[in-house]
Amino acid sequence: MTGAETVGGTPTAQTTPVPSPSMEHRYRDLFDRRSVLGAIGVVAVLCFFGFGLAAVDEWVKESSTFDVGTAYEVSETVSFTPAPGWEIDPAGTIPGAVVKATKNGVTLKVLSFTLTPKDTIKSFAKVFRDSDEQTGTYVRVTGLKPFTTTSGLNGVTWDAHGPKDASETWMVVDGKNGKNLAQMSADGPAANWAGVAPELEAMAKSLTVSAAQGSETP
Amino acid sequence: MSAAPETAAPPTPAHPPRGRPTIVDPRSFVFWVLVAVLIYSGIHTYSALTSPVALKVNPAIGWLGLVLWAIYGIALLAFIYYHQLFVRRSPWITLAAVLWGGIVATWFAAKANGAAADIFDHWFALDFNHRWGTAISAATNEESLKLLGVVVLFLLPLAAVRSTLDGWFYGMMVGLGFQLVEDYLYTVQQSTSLGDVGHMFFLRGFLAGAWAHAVYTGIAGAGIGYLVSRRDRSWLARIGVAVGLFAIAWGMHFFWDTPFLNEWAADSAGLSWLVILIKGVPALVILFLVIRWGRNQERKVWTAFVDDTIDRDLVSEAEAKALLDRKGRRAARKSVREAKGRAAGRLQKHLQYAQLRYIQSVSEEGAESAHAVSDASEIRELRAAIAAA
Repeated sequence: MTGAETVGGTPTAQTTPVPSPSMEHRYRDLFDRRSVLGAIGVVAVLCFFGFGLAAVDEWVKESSTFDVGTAYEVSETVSFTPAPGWEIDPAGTIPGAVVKATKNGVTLKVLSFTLTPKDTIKSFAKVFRDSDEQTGTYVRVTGLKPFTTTSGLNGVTWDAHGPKDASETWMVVDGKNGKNLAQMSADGPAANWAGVAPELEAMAKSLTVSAAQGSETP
Repeated sequence: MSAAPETAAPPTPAHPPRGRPTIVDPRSFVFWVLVAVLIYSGIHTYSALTSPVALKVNPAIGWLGLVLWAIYGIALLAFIYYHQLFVRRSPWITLAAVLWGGIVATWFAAKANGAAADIFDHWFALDFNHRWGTAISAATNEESLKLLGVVVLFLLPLAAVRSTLDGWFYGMMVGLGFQLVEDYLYTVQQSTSLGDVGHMFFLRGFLAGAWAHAVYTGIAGAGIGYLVSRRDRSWLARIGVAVGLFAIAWGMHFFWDTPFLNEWAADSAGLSWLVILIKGVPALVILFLVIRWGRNQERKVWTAFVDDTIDRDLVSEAEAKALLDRKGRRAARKSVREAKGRAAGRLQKHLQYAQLRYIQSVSEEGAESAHAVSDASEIRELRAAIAAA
């Protein structure tokens, strides 16, 4: 029972009237050590779960930077070699699946698995059409063009241009069944595009897919 | 035993009566921390509860979810509340426990789970987080934060929370609050029609609800109660029990959340039912064992207190013995009913509750307190009514 505790198994006996609150003064004093330490302990635990873990998470994300010139592993099977000046965007990066990076307002996304090339180009064209409709202009999406990575993997690429935005996508495709294995896409302001285009091209060519999945040039 | 003679020196109580337990303890910093985090988390939780798109598109989803989960919560709360054997714990402290679970623990756990998921994503393969990371972070963050609510109540002197069963009871209340808010959130986030709301209510309320947060925190809370109250045991034993029960609660939560067995049973409704039972029933069994263990302790303390303190004119030895469990109480009522009729049987039930209240009043406030005197008077009146029946 709540109020009938024992000491060494001996029950307490009590027939006195309700005591004054001062009986518990030691515990009830606001600045009593027990009261303050208890409160600090509770706040500390809440801070750890509410803010500490989030801080660790931020730190982990911030500490994820590209090692220029070294292949970056997007997933267990896909990697690419980043060009200088590109910075990882933690918000859009999912380790093991997607890496997002930015430079001069251009966003780069490399992912290890995505839609089929046809579906991707369809949704991609729609996004651009939607964003450019405000200006009343049209978007030209190019047809698929073949491309080959440095390691000999086959893929397709296409680009799109509007008055404001530009974009290009590279996709490594499995030669046997046509499924895409890795995708790199970049989009950003058309005005900045020319400055990063060669780097994007180089990074696309550096894409590798593990031998088990990749479609090497026969 | 009768009241001690006035000339005799009163025994020194280990825990003198402190008055009715209350959650309002302004001279404790912990109370102010409780108030502050309830306000802080309350604002965020309100925002989270009212922001799902489904609520804006179809407010009826929110209202139906609210009504269903409120009814569910009240029913479960009442069931647990009326299964207290010897004491009726303070409704206000109970409410504080429910609010901690539903507001504080849910909000902080949501933040912690999100961060932990990201960290797991960074450190391990994506599949790890999907399959195991969620289970690890949910069990760790949620169980810790819920248990912290029980610890907060133990840290409040005026709440007078100090027994294994207190830990169990308030643990269940914290867990229930958490469960209800989480269930409501999932319902409104994942429903696009009123049918979905009913489906979610059935899934989360009945398939998963019987062995969910309330059960886990009830188990872990009993450990905290034992740690704090059993000063006749060594520190090592008390810490061992508290850690052990937390580990069991953590393990049960983790086991429930893992994909273990789920994939095996994915294609069969029968197997899915089996998996639910395999994952859920052990937690419920452990909870019952913990309650039984806690009640045995409570029964000993209660009996010793009654023997040494309570006026036998108000609670005789036979009556006290009958009050020890529900079976004894039923038998005593039946005996009165058979001897003096149905009305007397009902009065006997009232008498038993009055005696329990009296013993609690003496324990909390002293034999001469207004509540104890009032309860004693009620006992005498009920006795007279039964005798006259």
